[in-house]
Amino acid sequence: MNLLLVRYSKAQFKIQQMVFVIVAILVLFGIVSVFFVSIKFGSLKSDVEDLRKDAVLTQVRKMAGTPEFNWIDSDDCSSCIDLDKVFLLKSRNSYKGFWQDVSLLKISRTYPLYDTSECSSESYPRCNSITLVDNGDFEGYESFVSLCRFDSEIKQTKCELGKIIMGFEGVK
Amino acid sequence: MNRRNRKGQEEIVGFILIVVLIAVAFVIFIGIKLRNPETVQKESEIIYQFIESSLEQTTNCALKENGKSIRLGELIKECYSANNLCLSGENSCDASRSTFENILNASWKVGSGYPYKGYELKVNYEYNSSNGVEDEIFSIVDGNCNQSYSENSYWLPEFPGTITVKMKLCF
Repeated sequence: MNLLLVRYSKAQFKIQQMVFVIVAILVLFGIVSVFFVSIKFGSLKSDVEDLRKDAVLTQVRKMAGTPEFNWIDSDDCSSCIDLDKVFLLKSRNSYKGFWQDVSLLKISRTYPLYDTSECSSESYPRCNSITLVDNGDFEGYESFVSLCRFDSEIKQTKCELGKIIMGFEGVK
Repeated sequence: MNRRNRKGQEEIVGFILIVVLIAVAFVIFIGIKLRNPETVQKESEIIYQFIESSLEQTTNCALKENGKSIRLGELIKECYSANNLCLSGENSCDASRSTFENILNASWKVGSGYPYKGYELKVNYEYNSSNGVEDEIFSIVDGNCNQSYSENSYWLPEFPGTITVKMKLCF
């Protein structure tokens, strides 16, 4: 009986030992796979962030197509903004508070740049930006557009590269 | 007793051997992974918007006396099809290239101290896209471009093919 008991306990010990080895190997593989998965999907968050940013940029650019901004000409140009129209909007009191939920709405020139930063009736059109809304506390998104106007010096339409910058309250 | 000890030692050595083998395999895997950094290529909306808006830029090139200054997109087409001279005497290909260079310099600051390390802009004419036949019109490169970049393309129809403006922004 005693002999039987000893054999039984040795086999049990062997099984236990094997289980420990298997569990150890499984844990090791588990750690390795967790490490691998974390490396593999580490870029997923930034990819989602990029897609979200692209969607916001598309929305920002849609602003160029609104009647207050769009450039109407014989050429089809979805990215063109009528700079004269935007400059006139700046001084229109009826448009104060028109763009609700927008903390910043600014049109800025990218190329060529002039010495004067913000446009005024004295400096326009040789200036770089027209700010329509600036309520502070925002995160800005900018999208490339074309700033078009009729240039009386060269007696033709002139388009230059610019940006439409929008900032939204609460987006941080 | 001695035999039993030796057997136990053998088992421990076997277990350590398995662990060491797995560890070595893991280190080799990590080494290979780190030596060949993953290529990151993304399609970017801002690049598409940049190219589209840049092609609307009015250049300083007028082709006829009392004629209008033409847009950059038209100037590139002119460069490919006829390569006529602007009234200023500048060749249309040089004028389109220098205008694009100025626009790129004003729009993207690149270098080691900036988020973007470099850019590549290629303007090609593709006339048999299934066979990938293309002629290079011009290209502009600045900074360093490695395997991580955002890119996008814009097409200008020019019968029988298309002019493609491809841009890579490297980070």
